[in-house]
Amino acid sequence: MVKFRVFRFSPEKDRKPRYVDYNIEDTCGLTVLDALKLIKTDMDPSLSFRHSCRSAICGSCAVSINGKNMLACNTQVDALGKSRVVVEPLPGYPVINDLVVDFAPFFGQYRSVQPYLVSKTAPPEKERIQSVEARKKYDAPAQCIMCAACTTSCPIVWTDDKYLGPAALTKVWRFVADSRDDITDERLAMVNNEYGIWRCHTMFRCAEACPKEIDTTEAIENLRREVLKRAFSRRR
Amino acid sequence: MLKQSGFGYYVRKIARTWKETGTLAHIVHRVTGILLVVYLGVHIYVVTQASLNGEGYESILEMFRDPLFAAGELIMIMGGLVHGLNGIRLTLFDMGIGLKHQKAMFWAFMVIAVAVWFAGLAIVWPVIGGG
Repeated sequence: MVKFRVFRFSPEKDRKPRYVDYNIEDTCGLTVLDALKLIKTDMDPSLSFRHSCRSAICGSCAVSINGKNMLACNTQVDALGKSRVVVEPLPGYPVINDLVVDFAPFFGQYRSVQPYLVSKTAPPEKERIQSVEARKKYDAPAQCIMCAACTTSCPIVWTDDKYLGPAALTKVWRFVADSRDDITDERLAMVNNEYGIWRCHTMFRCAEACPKEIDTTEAIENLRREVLKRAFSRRR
Repeated sequence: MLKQSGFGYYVRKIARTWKETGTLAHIVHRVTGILLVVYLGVHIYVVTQASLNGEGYESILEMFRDPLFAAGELIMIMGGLVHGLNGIRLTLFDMGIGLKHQKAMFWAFMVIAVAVWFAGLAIVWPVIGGG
């Protein structure tokens, strides 16, 4: 039997969050998302949480499981190896209801970094060709599913709402590393400040939280080196 | 909506996850950094007093020999070593070195800090303790 200690907060009823325990007898083959759905259908229909694809693609079911940000849908309960599983909302962002947090700050930061390809050349007839080697440069950051596990695990994000955070910065690196993108200087100028790459304290919490194993810390460090490289080469 | 941010939240949350090596390194770096800034203030004050007040200089030197003061100095030396060595670790990451081995690097640098501290203690002890 596994005891699920679930964070509950309803803005209409509660002034403070509370934790409610739910026991599930058989957890064999059950993911944390399955467990949450079981709780909702069989024990407490008032429980709120986000979920959609159940295959670690949509990024909507990220929650804090035993203090670590993970996707509920690809975390097996038995693999956690604990008789008590604490499920809480992602940290850092305001809680709307139970495990549902407000993603407005996340998408606000994300949109601010122009998260799309900008090319100054005329569109080709078919597609912008890229070599396999050039594509490999941003293979990892292109895997991002925007679940916010990285950004919400960052203590700097908890204390500074202007900080872009690892997800937005990794997206910047994804386009800086893309040979087809033509606004590298603008992108680097965007993050070369105290709310961008220089705000990171290199704690590696973001990289450790990423369910897609993207080294977000490395992406921020890559941006730092790119900024410095360009600053020095301009001076010469 | 329930707020989940601010300094108090940061302290509570980070205290719960201090065992993560990267987080531990951050806590150690912050605490030793604050200690060093406070120490620097005290150090400048004491040295200024000593240089301004010629007669009091000897009494200040006498205070330095107090075992409690010596213990404080030893803690500060450890703080300086830990902060400096972790600073080198972070600089190496900025240079793209060792990102994949951050945990091992932290503990390796801490072992160096302790080793250097004991070596320093062996040198300093006859002066502050035995003398």
